[in-house]
Amino acid sequence: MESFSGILSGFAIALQPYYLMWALVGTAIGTAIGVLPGIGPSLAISLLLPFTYQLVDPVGAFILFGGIFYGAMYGGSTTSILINTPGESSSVITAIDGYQMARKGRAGAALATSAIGSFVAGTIATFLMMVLAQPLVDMALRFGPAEYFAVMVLALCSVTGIGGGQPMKAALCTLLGLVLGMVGIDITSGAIRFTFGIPTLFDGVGVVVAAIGLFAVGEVLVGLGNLRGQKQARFMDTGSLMMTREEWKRSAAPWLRGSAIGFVIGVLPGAGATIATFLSYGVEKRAAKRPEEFGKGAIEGVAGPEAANNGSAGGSLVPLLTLGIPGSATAAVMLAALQGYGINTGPLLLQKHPELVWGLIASLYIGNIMLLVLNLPLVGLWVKLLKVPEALLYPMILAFSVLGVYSLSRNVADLYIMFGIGVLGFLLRRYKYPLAPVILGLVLGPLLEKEFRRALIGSRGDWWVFVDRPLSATILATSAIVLVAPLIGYAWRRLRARPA
Amino acid sequence: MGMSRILRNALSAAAMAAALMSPVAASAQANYPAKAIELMVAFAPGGGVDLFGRTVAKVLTEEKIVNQRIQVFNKPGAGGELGMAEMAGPRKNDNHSLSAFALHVIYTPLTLGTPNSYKTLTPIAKIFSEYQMMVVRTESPIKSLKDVEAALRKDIGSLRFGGASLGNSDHIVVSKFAQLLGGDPTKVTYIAYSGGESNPAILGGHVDVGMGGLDLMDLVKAGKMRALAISSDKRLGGDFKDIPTFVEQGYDVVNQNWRGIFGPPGMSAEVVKYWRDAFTKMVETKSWKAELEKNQWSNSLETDTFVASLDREYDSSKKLLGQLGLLK
Repeated sequence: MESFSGILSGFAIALQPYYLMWALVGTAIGTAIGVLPGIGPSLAISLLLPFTYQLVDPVGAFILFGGIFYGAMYGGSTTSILINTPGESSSVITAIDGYQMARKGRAGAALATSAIGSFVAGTIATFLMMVLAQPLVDMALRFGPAEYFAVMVLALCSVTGIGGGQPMKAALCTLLGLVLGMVGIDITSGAIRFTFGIPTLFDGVGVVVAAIGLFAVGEVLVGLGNLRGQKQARFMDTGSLMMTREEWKRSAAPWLRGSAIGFVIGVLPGAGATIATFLSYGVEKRAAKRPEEFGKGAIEGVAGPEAANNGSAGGSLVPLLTLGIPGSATAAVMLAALQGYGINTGPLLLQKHPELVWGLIASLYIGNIMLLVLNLPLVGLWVKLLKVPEALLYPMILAFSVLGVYSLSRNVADLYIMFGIGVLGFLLRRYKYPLAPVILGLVLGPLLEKEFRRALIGSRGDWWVFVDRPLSATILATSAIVLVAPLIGYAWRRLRARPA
Repeated sequence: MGMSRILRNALSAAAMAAALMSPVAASAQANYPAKAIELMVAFAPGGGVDLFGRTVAKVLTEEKIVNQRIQVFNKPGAGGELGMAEMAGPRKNDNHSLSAFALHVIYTPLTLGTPNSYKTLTPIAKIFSEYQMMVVRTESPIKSLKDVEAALRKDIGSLRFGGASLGNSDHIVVSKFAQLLGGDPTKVTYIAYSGGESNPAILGGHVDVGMGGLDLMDLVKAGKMRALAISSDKRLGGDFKDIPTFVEQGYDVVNQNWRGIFGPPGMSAEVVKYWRDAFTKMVETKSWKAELEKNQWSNSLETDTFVASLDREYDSSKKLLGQLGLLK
């Protein structure tokens, strides 16, 4: 009941013309960055953040960011289907069957199933977020330092173990993030660490500065390297957007399964949209009546994963809004945004800022409808975005990065940090290391350490505090499983491959 | 304390009257400010100091006390050191720059060993104060300060206190309280949180006793927390009229977290006077009083005596931080 009255007040906020406008702006930007390869929601939000501080109230900013987050999940599929170039890593798997459908002249149907699937999943995930928010918050109050520590260990283990597909590379990037997170004043003891006496570094490496460096500057550097090798993309004709009766029938179940998989994976901190799409693809292939069609244009292979990535976007907002723990790079940037507005995250967010939480949730329902309209009839318009020459796009991103970072702190030293991290981001991308674990490590590292020491201070030095509480023991055990599961799976496959 | 406040109020009233009635002083400053004022907030947008700076700018312009635009900007970082460095460096001698600060002008140089402090700025006025509150969650067996005392006397580390970072007002209050009982404040189990992060920890029973600003009153009114004491020198009014101070309960613990306005070093004496008069006028306006009420701030305007009270606070803080082992 509480969630019912909550969501009503949320709609009262989200339906105000001012906030409707921000939802529309967010969904439009989200779709655009979803279409553009290489530019993701975390980049877009971190680039916009410095400006929203001055222009928008927190509710408006969160409606904007929510729209971008969901929108990117819609837009990412368009280019996967039409030119076989995924706009986001979470749409990589869509390209397999989506592009094949396009080659068979069913591009319109592929676009339709992914947009409607996104809508279904987005709505289901938002609904689950709505009903789960209050109960989860009630449970979250029982979370002490030991439990918070355990959840963050789980997040870091899952981003390493199953987040990227390459555990060793992901582990290195997680550690890199943790190292960056060590810089600055340690809140528990007041000690100053790894600052070389430079006052700028006393507060550590800013999350937004790091995100802009990694995603924006890094992306521009990678793009510069590829400018000359750029081939003009061949667009497939979209054709009719109507799905046949059979296509509807074949899409329905994958939409629902994809939504569920996406939401559950999204809630699990650390495992993001990409892993949800891979899982969903695997499930659909197993469940399909004609698995041999997969890879040759099976509509299930588009419907499932596209629902899954939207479901996970909704899911990943749950730990952010209830615990204040970000589960993905995008959520990490949103957390930084909340803190920048002086809003305390954690279990009391819902009680102290109901307008923000319910306004965001209500606006996500509305945004979903906007996105369906933006993406289906207007799909041709978004594809034209790809004709913007990169030689024009990259300098713009760079200018926005510099402006944004400088306006945040008016500190030139932050620009040096941004470019330094940008070069790091370039190297990581060049050698195919995932970037999200770096940001998660940077955000979660200091939190992890803080809660670890709070637990030990509170227990007056007794280490059993981490395992003698059932909740934290369970979460820690899950983390261990998540971490070793890929290794066991690998060993198992090796054993089976060996001739008997 | 009471006497000095009455005296101070009388003095400020006199100063205000003088400012209103003396045409000579007014004409000397007739062409100041000649251009827009830049008011620097040395903390990130959204925090307590930011709110202070922006509210001051708003009331001063809305009430037409200052006839120029006051542009607020943020220069956060290193506990205010980056902002102090900006004032002491590039903005030195600039009569059109102001900055909003809190206790950090004393604590940051002491605890971080950074070069700038209130001594490298021009203190203009202390504007208002916020006090701290000691609370427990409603389910807690601790009913009063006496229970806290009893537990600490038995074992000084037996209660888990939760509040803002080490060396901060919250920690200072707990340390002073422990010292009063004859305990070693470094042995107190104190868990540092940032901002309101401690609220869920108090509600969840993950700390036994919570410290925080007066905004905790929302949770007290909601029936989720019980207030044990407030760190003001005398009983506050309004929502707080039922909450006793530490002093009333026989513990000599008084602590306030003030907000003040500082100019860059080398600001001219007339300009300092202009601003002191402006703030004296400001605190008498209805809209400022409404802001105090809304934000649970307590008026504590201090102008000419500000430097002396900063010096006193610096010395006592240095002593206490030394005892806590937090001096750099």
